[in-house]
Amino acid sequence: MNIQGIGMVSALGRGIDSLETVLETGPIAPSMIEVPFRPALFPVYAVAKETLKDKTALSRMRRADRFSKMAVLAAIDALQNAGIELHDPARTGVVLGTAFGPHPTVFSFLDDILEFGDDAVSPTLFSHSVHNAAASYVSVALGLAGPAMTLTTFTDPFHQSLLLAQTWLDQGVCDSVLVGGVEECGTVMEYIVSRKLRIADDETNIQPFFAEGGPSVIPGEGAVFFLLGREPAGPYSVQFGQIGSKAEPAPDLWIVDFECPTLPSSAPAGCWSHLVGSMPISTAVSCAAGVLMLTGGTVYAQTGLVKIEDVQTERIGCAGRNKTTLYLRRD
Amino acid sequence: MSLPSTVLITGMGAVSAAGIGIPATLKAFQRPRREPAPVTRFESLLTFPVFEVENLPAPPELKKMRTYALALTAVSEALEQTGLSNLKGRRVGIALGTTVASQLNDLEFYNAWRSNYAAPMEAVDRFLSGNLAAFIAKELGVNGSAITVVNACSSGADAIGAALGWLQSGLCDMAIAGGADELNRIPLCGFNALGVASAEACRPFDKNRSGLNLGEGAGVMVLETEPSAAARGAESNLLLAGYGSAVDAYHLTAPHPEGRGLRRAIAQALTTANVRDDEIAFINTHGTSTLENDKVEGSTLADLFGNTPMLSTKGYTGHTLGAAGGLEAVFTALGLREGWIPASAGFETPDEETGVIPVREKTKVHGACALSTSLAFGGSNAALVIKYRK
Amino acid sequence: MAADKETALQEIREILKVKLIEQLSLEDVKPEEITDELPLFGEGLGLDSLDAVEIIVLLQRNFGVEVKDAQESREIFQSVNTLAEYIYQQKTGA
Repeated sequence: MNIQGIGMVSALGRGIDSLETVLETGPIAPSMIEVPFRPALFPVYAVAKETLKDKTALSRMRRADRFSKMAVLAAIDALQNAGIELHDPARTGVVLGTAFGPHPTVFSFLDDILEFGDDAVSPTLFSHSVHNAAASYVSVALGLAGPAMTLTTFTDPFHQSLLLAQTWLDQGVCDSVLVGGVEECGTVMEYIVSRKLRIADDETNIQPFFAEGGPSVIPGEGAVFFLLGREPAGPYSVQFGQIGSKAEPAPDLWIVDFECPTLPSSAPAGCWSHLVGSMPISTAVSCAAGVLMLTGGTVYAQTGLVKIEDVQTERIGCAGRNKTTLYLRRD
Repeated sequence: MSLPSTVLITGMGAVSAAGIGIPATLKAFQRPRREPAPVTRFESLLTFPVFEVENLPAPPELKKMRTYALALTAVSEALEQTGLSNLKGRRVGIALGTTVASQLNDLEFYNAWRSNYAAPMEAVDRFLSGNLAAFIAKELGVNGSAITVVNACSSGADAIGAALGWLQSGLCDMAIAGGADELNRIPLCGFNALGVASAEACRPFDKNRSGLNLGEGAGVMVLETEPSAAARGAESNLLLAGYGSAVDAYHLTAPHPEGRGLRRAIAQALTTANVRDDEIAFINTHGTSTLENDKVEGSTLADLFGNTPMLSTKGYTGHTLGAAGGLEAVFTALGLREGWIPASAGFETPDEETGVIPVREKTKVHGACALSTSLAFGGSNAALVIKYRK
Repeated sequence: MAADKETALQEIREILKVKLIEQLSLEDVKPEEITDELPLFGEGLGLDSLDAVEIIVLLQRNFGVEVKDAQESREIFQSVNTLAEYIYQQKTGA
């Protein structure tokens, strides 16, 4: 599967360039927000309000929630990044993977039930609380008419989304597929994360892995979309290896999300996705970082690890939590 | 690109208000007896009728995870038919559709959170213990791909379509696919707010229809490549022959007036199944009994298929949301296997606007292929073609 | 009496315009742009079927007024004027 374009919305802003910048210059500080469940400020890599202001791109989305807006902007940017026109909207599919979906909208709907009663809730909130509202907005915004699938797993939503895109491309259902991962932060989720994971005090304390007592993280949110096709196009000359194939040769660099799984082969390993905050779709961020490294012929420095020097990377493996592996290779 | 292999349906399971298990379902289909009633499983001001599953056998640990209990019941029935005592050592994928079970929407937890910004984590742990597909994978001890498809009301059909893609790509040899959803207060409130819940028993395609009744259930198929079945000496006359999916790209909650996406989904399903439209013996429609769905779906199907027998089974099950596509795929396969389809319960008066006259009584069907359609929020449309090989 | 009614209607219309913008997320619309006679659906304000059901909730929450059937709502939901008239009738029984 050829990677034709990448779009990204995160605390860093919009566009894949925003990731490249922090890869080169190092981490930015997270937002420190007030939360009702602890006195100390809570660090989070949150998407800024301004990032989601785009009158043109979001013109038909007045009712949309943040989850859908992040998805649409990342999808639009992926297409723009590729710099190509889609020949047939019916031959372009959308696969959106998410672990938790638009939970702040779900909670707003629960607020409605609790405050106004079962018979006085907002139908608009309800229709946006379903996981697939975002993919629907992506199709409408880009005028796509192929299949659109939203799927959810807690362990490897991006991996599973890519796998589905691969079957669509292999079987000729689509000529191109926009594959994305979207995850949102919100106060309730921040509470849950604070109960489940060690939260780093600031960006210098993030310990992606090898940390005693497990990794310490700062939660993040955002959307990453890849435009994939059978033919090479766009700025990268990088492709995903066949997913699920045992024949993929060992990579010369591993990228892990934040917990360090047992890697299938030995090679230097690093972690970069925490630069936008940790989230269940971090694999998508890892892959985006991998594409930039393969394209630029560099391996960026990163915190918490021995410095990786002079690695000639032709192939990168992105290891997810569920023993799932994605391979990136230069064309 | 290799030639897609034939995919057999080697097991099926169905749980709905029509019956727990396929024998009970077929019995209910013989004679329409519909008694949707106000919900009893939880408290709500809303009293419009729903189709509840009564006497669902559920282990105590799944008491608060009804969708999982529904799914497990259907999966167990489907697996029993395969004759396999376990799936160890096999390459099995799991694709299940749902709506409710995908959300962290426990009102008890959320209410506690709202009152003091702290809440016991039981509901969260329950939620995080695995989403629907991961839960079933764990129960069965399989470790292939496991996805929960959340395409609203076409989730079940799309999950079956995703599994078909895996099997034809050789990613697994066997898949458990379908959908499950419980009756839950959140969609009950939501569908009422959307103005599509009826105060009476639903009447799909009827001129005087006034909306849907929610239901609950699970419908699951065991899908298997022909070589995999042959290797263990298993046979089946039922094939999952084709799947098509396309979006309207029109509106979040309203279907495209001319059924733009539905037409493409059907065309694609027929093409991949290598079946002509005149080979379709009957159509199991989405037929929710809402004004909009039945108008758009009915007129589209009437235009494409003319007088081909059609029915909606929502009159027996209610609208089971994420389960609907799974249940109706099973019902479609049963129709082909049994050679008859049930009366489209609730239909009396034809509606010129839909142009569809579904079967009014138990009807014999002839032919080897049938179509099942699903339409959803977000403009998703899915179509499945099922074949009976004599 | 007639003057009282007009005052009441005027007040309802003002509240309605603000609430419509708020609840229907009409970000770029200002209350004064919604004239009393402006058609709410189609050409005009351009609302759709999802807005229609949202307006039912809006009337319920802000005015304690119920709209029961779809046919009825079609007539009531034509403009801010017709909405205000309906609310006034329901509130006063006139």
